[in-house]
Amino acid sequence: MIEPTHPDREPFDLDAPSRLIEDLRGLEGVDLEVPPAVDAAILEEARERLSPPVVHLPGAGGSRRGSRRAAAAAVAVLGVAVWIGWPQPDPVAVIADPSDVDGSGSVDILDAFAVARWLDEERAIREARLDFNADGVIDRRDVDALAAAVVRVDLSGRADR
Amino acid sequence: MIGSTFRPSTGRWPLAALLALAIVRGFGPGGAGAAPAQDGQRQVGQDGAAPRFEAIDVFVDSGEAPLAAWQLEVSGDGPKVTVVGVEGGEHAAFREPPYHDTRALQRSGRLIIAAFHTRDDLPTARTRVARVHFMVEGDGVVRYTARLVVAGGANGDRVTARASVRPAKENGR
Repeated sequence: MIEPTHPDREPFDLDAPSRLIEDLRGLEGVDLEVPPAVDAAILEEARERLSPPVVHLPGAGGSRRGSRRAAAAAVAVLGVAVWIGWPQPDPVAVIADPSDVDGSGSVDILDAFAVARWLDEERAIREARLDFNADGVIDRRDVDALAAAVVRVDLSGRADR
Repeated sequence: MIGSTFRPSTGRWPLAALLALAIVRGFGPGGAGAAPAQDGQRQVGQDGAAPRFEAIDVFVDSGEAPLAAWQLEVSGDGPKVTVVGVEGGEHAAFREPPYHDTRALQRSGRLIIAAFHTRDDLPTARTRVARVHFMVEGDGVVRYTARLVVAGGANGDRVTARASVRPAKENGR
């Protein structure tokens, strides 16, 4: 007999039926024996289901090789993350107009003047970006080409005055 | 692009050629009362009035800083105005005609002009850097302006300067 322990509840009858009690008592003498084959099968099933999963990388030759690749991938991901978070150079500077020789942010006569001064000083200019007329040589004609671009007038939208 | 831009080292012949062309178009066989122009533009003097030619002197004042390079935009606002020629300035450094787009001549009342000088003999203070010739059709006063784009010193650094215009005088002073 089990006594209810909860103080707020009314006591109720927990007695099992007499027949059930007799049947349960009858089980005490039964010898339940599990065959070894069944036991082994259950054990094998349990190992397969409860063991940690193994990740197989494509082309991995073994667990150590796979670990190295996983580590390399992790480093690469970390590197990309750092690169993305790192301060990037000004995109304007990356795609700057090659005609902006003096890096002022605008193309004007001072850019042509800069190239002309370099030529006058007989500096060895090998920057391909300064070959404005694309003739393979950087000389006064490139200065003229740049100056021509500077003074070019847009006539497409002019008013007929 | 080079072919359509006057190069300072080639001298003053384009001005003379353009003035001659303008005169021929205005007063010659292709002038008033003649067949329509091939390019579809209005012909000079087609309204019966003779065009007139005006010239302005363009000045740049860089104060005490030597002026080695400059770029500005000149324009004439009023009746039908077109630029027909460009001359150089007063100082030896800018005596040759400045860079300009020859395609704009006789087609636009606006022109961008620019020049530089790599030697040491550079002007200071107010100096005449160019003279620009316009052709004007119709009556009315034309308002000429010059807007300085940039001015530079001997080392290519930017210097503070002002641009101004005034009607040209015969002696260019």
